[in-house]
Amino acid sequence: MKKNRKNAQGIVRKIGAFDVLNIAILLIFAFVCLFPVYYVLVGSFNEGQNYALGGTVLFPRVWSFENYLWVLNYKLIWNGLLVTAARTVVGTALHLVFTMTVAYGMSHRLLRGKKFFRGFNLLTMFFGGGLIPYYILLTELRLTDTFWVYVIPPMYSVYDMLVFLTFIRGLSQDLHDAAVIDGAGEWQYLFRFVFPLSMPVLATVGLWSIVGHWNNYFDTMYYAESYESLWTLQYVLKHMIEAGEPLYYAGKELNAQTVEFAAVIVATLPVLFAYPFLQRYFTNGFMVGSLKE
Amino acid sequence: MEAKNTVKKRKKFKRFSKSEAAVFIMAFLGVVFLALFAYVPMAGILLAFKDGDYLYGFWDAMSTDWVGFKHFARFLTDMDFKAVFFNTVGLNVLSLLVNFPFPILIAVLLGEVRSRRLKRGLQSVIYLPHFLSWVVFGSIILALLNTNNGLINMILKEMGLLERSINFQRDHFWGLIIFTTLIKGAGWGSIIYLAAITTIDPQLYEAAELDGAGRFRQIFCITLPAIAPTITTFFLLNISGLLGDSIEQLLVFQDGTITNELFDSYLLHQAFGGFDGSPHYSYATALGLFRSVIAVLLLSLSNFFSKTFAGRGLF
Repeated sequence: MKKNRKNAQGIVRKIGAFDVLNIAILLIFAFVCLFPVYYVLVGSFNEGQNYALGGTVLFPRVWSFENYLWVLNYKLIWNGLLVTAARTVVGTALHLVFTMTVAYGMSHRLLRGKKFFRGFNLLTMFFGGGLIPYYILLTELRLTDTFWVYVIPPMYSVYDMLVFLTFIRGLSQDLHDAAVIDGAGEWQYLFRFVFPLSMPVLATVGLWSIVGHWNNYFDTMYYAESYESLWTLQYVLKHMIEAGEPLYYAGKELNAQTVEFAAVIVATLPVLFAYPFLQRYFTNGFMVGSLKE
Repeated sequence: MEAKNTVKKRKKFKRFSKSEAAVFIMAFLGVVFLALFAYVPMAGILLAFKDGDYLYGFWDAMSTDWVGFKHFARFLTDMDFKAVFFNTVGLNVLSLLVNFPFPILIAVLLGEVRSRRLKRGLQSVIYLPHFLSWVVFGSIILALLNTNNGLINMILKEMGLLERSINFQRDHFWGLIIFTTLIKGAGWGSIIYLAAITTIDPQLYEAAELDGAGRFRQIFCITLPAIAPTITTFFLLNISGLLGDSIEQLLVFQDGTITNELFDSYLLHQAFGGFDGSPHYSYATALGLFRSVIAVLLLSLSNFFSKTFAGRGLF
């Protein structure tokens, strides 16, 4: 936008001291953000005993694939990947459909008792019962130690509902009225028109949800720890890091740290692959709008 | 008479039309969900005034005696709790001072980058840490800070700045938390401000430039005032989180010493295995209530001050 304004003026700007300093600061910050990931990538390909000497920075000193072989032969990682993928897909789908449905109802001018609905929702943003009553509730509902504890409690979020609400308000009222005249019910209108038209905001909130589901380990740690078959990828990782047991591959003792690095990379690869595709959904002003409500 | 009454009744309560019923059901789904997952736990707060320790299950716990403010009195006079409380407040005030302005700075700096390609490239890199889990990010940071072969300690020793390795986890816990929050969150946190910056009318900058305003002047006189409402909103939201930390972050970086214990993790540890190794549900519920009340108070207070002095608040 700014570039255009310069072009419109026909002024060719020189790069001044300000620009140099500005970009230098940003580059330093970017380096600090990126370097840790690179460091782990290098470490994961380095032979363990050699890594222990320290100082592997730019390239692996002694290449080794044993770390990865160990990780790929670790059953819990694969199971964890499966559980995490399942909770991410199911959880995000449930979250989007449910929250969007409520948002559409809340946004509708025919909704009776709007004040009550708003108040009922908003209060929960500022006050809650705390962790323990929540935990007891999950236990009483028999959700703990089942897969459902991963996907049902995060099904609805007032915050995301407000984001959707703001977006839906911007949709055409005429379209709604025309569809209703043509005999579409509200449910039909919701699924046939509101959902497809809300793709941008669904993508953004969907991204938040995906990241939340993929990275969560707390749920497993406190709500579903009893069965290894329910452990999510991140929890398997955490467990592995904390166990600190000596690890062997083909009779040779490996360095737990470099194996850990390989596991970290395996757990992060899907994120890194998806990253370029998700990028276009990062920037948006939805949040600002919804918070001003 | 009778006929009149029914007419009146009908006026009072009009039957739901098909559409009205449909949207009512949609909105009501949210109420059902919140009633179960938000309001039932609120009722569970009663547990804080019961002696439900050592018991499993809500009804067992609720059938115990009322004990009034016993649990509150206990933690308010507890030395460990005092340490945890001040540790938490201290860390979070400091973290707020660093981690609140930094995303704004990043957004302003990014807004000043002229080359679009460079800007996009920088954005993709600084958003990345947000997408890593705390387990992943934490284990990387701890590997870098390792006392034996961590890169940071080795470099510092090589340069002769250190004689012995620093144990960051034990001795610089606040710094560790603040720094990792910064790296993981600052880039992502800048999005919201950047979005606000891109809505500023470019003509303002043009005019300022023709009037001879330098870049700093433009930032302070145009950019910052334009995003001030966003800044206020997020500041208010951040204030109420003074007792709250990312629990996933804490559990990754803690090394088990009491000096590293913060409110949320203390609550968790008390709940599932406290001072004597057994669960203390009532005690932890009391802690949770204390925390919620403080958060509401802080939010209301800061909202009040913001309304009085800045003319705008959250609600």
